[in-house]
Amino acid sequence: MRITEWLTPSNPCRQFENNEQLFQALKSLNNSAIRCVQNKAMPSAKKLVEQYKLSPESVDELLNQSSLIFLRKIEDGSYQFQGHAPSSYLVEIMKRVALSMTRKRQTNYESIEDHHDLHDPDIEASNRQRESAELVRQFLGQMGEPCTSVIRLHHIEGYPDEEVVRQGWTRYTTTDSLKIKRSDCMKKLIQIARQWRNTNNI
Amino acid sequence: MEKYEQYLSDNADDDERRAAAQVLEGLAGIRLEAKLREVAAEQAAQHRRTLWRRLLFTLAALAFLAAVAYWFFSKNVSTPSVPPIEKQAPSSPSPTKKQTPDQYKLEKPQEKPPIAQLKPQEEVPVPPDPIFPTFALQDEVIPEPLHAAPDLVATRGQGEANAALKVLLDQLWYVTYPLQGLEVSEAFPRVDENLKKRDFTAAYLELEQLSSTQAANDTLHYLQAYCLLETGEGQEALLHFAQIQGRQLAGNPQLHWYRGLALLLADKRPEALALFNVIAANSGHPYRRQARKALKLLQ
Repeated sequence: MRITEWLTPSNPCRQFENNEQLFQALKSLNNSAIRCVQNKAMPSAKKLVEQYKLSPESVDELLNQSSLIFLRKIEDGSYQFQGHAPSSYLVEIMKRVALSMTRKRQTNYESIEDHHDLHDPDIEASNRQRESAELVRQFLGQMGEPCTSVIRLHHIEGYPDEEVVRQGWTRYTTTDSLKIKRSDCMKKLIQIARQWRNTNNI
Repeated sequence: MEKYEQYLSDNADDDERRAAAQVLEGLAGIRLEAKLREVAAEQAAQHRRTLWRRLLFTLAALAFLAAVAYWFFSKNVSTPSVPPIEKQAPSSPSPTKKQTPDQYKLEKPQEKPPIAQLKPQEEVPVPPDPIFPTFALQDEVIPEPLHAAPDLVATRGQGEANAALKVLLDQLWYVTYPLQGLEVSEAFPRVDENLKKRDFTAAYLELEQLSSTQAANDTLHYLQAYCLLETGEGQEALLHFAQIQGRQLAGNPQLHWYRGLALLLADKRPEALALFNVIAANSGHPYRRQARKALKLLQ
């Protein structure tokens, strides 16, 4: 290894030969792929923060929020690979998020009667998802064990059932019994959510 | 995103469907947030690692530069231009050359009458040591001797040389009892008692009696030499030092120092200087600092 390589952070993009490979890795939430597009988008994030006169600390928030929208759009299939660099799409999202952050900051100081131009469907969807995530965290807390672990291992950490059984992370020794338990737990979770929605008239 | 229909009850209404959709959306959100946190932690860890590597590299580079600089300067220092005074330094004085009393006139001690012929600022080269020729005489602070040297004026007379030698020896009289390497208290209890009282004459008389009744041995010789040293009889002391045969006692560092003092007492300054040079150059010798002081005073 050359000394210059040893002294500089490794380039996460090196393992992807082309944009399509990178996109496929992003679909499976590969860490290196995410780091690769974030590294590529970072200079633009800094420029946008300067351009929109946001605080320098906003760079991380901008990149994080944009990455959430970007990954959600890849996951739900609304962003399809068309030969372009995925990082350029992330930069496009960042521009909208930066604009939204600027407007949000302005509304704190000025009385704007009509905020229709503030609405960005992607940002709104992201905010909605963030709220849902917060609620689900609360509901999971109410459920207790083993449901919390069974749901977390599959739906949040993404471990295959075979791995969960092999490692003995739950009390269930077969994939079938694990699946049955998870299904019960999910039904229970949905009922808790439903009850919460009814209580709050949503 | 995973389909929520599989978790709905058979007669699921719209409320249940919306709740299920919200739950799965929330779970997907948690998953993405967790993933981004994981990536951020990975990135931070890599930055830290890179930072440490750069720091390590910088330290290694500095250490290398320091080593090169040290090597370069130490190389230059080890071959300095010799000062004129050292160039003119004479070779070791011949021990066979006859000494005159003037040659023993010594450096003037503070607050004492002038006894040396040397000017205060005048530098006198130290005779080079044949074994350790390059050790430096350093200004080392060591405590003053506990006891004064024997009164040479009383035993030898009022001569200027005797007074000067007494002044010199007072500063070098690092002579203590008990003697290292000897077990005196059991074998010669009365001698031991007298020596502890610093009654050297009584101790010497006791030793004389002992030596007439039993075969002389190294312990007796050393004790006799010590008594003679403390009474200012350098030449006599040297005779006893010379008869010590045992390798262990002969190699005793305290005995070396005492013998050096005896040589001074016996007006054998060149031999004393040679011995002090050897002691001073030996970094493990317990009397090396005293020997360096002696060399400095004898300059």
